[in-house]
Amino acid sequence: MTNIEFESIMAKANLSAFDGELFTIVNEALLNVETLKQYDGDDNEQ
Amino acid sequence: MSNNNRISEIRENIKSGVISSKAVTLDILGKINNSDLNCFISLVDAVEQAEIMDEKIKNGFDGPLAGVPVAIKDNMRYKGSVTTCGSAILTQKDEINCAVVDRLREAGAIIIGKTNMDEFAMGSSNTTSAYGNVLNPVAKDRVPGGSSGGSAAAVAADLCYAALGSDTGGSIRQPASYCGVVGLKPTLGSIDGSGMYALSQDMDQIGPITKTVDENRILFEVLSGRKMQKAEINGLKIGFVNDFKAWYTQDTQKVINRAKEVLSKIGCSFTEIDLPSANAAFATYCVLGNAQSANNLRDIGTTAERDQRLGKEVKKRILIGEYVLCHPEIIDRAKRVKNKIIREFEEAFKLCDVIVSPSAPSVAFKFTDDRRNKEIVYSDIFTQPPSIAGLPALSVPCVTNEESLPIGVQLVGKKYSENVLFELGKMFE
Repeated sequence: MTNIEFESIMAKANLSAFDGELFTIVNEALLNVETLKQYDGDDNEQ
Repeated sequence: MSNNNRISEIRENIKSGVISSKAVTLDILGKINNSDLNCFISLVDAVEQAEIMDEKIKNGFDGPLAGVPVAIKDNMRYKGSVTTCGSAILTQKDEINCAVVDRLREAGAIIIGKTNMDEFAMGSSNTTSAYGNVLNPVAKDRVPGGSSGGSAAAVAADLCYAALGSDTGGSIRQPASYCGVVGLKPTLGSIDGSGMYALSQDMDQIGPITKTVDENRILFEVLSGRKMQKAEINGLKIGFVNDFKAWYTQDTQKVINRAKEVLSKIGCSFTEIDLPSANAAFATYCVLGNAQSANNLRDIGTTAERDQRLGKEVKKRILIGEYVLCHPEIIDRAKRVKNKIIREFEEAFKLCDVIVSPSAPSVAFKFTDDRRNKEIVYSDIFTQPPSIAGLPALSVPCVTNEESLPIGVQLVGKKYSENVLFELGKMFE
């Protein structure tokens, strides 16, 4: 997630103060979400 | 052996006039006031409730919890109190009771107070509460687990006779394991959760935390309205999950060994089962749980209040939630993986009756431990898969490690098989 996208998400979450640490933490968590792809094999068609 | 049913004992004593509910309640309040564990965020009108209950009992009232002090987690509304959810942002007094409060009151329980918790139930350590950390009564330099850490610690420290927690990915079972008490995550939907602040309504489930399995059954019967039928447990087929083995340590292997020892005595047979998508439960939970959390919390507070009063863990989770809500393909993928996990459990239950694992991958960790440790990041690794599948799961104290710290065994059953779990759980006591 880019800085710009993060700021847009912050606005959706009704938060305003940019927090560099949160930006890093959220991006790390989203990397973990990417691991779902390896479990999403034969069910793709459903 | 210690008394396995203090709740029935104190109820009988109150009923027969040996002691009053008011005296029992004052005794508990004294213990709470002298405790440094920080288990409670607020106390409620317990003495007044007890006085009224004593009169009702004199006039013939009877109930399974008549006069017995019970605590509730502070995400459950109690009329006249402020339900904080462990957050500084909620300050309004409740105008209604959570449905489970009414159930408890109808059974005669005295609501003693509202227990500390991770902010908005987002955490597994009870260190994200705006009202401070809860200390684990087993070892005060260690976390009690979470998010129902205040409830588990209060039961372990005898600051109530039972407590309610809520469990979305392990928030009853993991703190029960860390504090050496019994915790049930019932079948999804089997207890009315209306009036509780939702974290993720597709997985949230209220459940009881008690010292013993028998006491847990009493609470569950009151909360669910279901009388537990006697279950035949001799000769059950027990499944152990191959895909969990990579997580086992010396401590958690002891749980498996003891489970086999205990269950073989009642003629159970053992089989190995596969849940290949179980290790994706963490990421699935992260997507689906946080998407619902972001929605649920969107209208709470102004921007300035949210900036100032929400903790970092809550901000993190609602930002993840808002991100995935903007990327529906991620939510769709998580839903497909969720369905896969559900089907894998269905297949597993064709081979066995109950699935057994440790409740947590380690004993309670220290407040000072590095939170990037694998066993801490993934402290819900064994509890999340059954949560995603909506299955009942009971954590019962099973072994202690070299430092005398407890770890629970998790018994996972088919939907609505809580009676089987209670019978099996008693074998570990």
